[in-house]
Amino acid sequence: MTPTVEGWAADEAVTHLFAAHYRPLVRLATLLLHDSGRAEEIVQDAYVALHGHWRRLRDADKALAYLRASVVNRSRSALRHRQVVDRHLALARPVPDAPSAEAGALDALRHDAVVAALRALPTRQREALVLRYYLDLSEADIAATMGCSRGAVKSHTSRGMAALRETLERSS
Amino acid sequence: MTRDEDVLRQVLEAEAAKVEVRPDALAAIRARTARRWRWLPFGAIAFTAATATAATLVVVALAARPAPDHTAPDPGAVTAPATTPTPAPTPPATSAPPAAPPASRSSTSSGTASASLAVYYVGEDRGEPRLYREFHRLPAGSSPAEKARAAVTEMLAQESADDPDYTSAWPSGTRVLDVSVEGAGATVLLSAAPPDDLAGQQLAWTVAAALGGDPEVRVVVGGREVAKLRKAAALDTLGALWLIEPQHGTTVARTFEVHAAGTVFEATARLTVRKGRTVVTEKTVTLSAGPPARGEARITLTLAPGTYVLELYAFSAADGSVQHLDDHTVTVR
Repeated sequence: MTPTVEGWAADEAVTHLFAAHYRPLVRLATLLLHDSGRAEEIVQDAYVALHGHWRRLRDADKALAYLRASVVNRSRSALRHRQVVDRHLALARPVPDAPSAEAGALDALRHDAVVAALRALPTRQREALVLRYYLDLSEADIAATMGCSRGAVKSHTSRGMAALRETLERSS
Repeated sequence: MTRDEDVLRQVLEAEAAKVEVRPDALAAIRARTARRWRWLPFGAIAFTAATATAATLVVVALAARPAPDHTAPDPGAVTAPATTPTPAPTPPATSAPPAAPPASRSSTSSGTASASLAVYYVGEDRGEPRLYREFHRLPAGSSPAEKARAAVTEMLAQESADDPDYTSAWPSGTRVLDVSVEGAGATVLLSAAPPDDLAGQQLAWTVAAALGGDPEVRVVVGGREVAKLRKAAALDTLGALWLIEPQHGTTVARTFEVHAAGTVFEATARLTVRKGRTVVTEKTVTLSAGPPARGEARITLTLAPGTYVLELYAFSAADGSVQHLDDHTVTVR
């Protein structure tokens, strides 16, 4: 980021960090939540909180780590609140998204199967996989973002991959 | 394995690419952070150098979200009722709306095992850290130990406070391993000891709210007792003025009730409603009791749809400066 970061007022910080990270963070939250409207609210909440904490952060890298952790945490909390409702709706709900033209080498059905399998994972396994394979974060960064140990990240990741393996292999 | 990873990468990439963001997102964030500038025009008039207060004033903003089964007594906040009888602006918990939840972050889920529990956070009152309380609807069993565990888990979760002005004194990553209740006391097994007295008080008040009364809270880390906590005196610990309703970030109906409690000089507080930098309305709030008692007040407001900041504060008896501000952003639909 720019060398003048430390001189940013909270407002400037939000503006810069918005331009650089808002869209990816909304996409991250959407992958975790499967609800882009809610994802966007959560990311906005995270930026508002960042604004309040800027005095203590004063560093673009720390701020990004803060935003990421905040988004993951808020998504987790939103999911928890939604779970009961979802259980009731799960059977009635149609396939969530229209097939995407951007699915590339995968055909739409296989893409949807993987997305559905990901969605069925326990929250922390999904978090670990998304942070690793979507954001390409290191194990240490994933641990910091999720608020757990690196050992826990390893175990969430490998369990998540094991659960997805059958679906993935059918898709490849 | 590598092939699986590639497939997963492709799927995530493609799935993420479907997501577009709202064009007005930055404006929406700015509208919410702009309230931090409120003191520029306001403070020029209201702030003078002296800060001595003759009275302690606490404004508590509490949840506008319904708390029908809220059972957490909070003896420290004597004026805050255990339930919020105001007509709930959000759908009742039993309706479990599948779509379009209210703006409130902690939208309620259909009412199986969840309870509205008091969670204490740290806010600033005249430069001093003080405890402020929010009610969060959390999955929890009905026993006091399960409630205490749910509330402490929420307290330790990173950035779990609805109000961005509130933080936690606990380092991120601290976890609660178990809570047990024996008699009038509780034992909390944590992954780390409280880093300071403030963190200890946050824990003590949160556990006490779940259990009721003034329990002794033993903190055990790695099999060793590291602290024995009790609630400290409310006047030295809690934020002086609490805005109980509506809670930060909630959506309310056009006509709604503002519920405040506190201990302030001459039992008089002030409520300012702002939209951006414009003052929409200002009211004097007379609490039911003055110091040393804690009074409370309820007033009804009617506002056009939009996003507002409600500021509850008191004037210093010594110099007329603004004190004990607690503010919440609220959306009127």
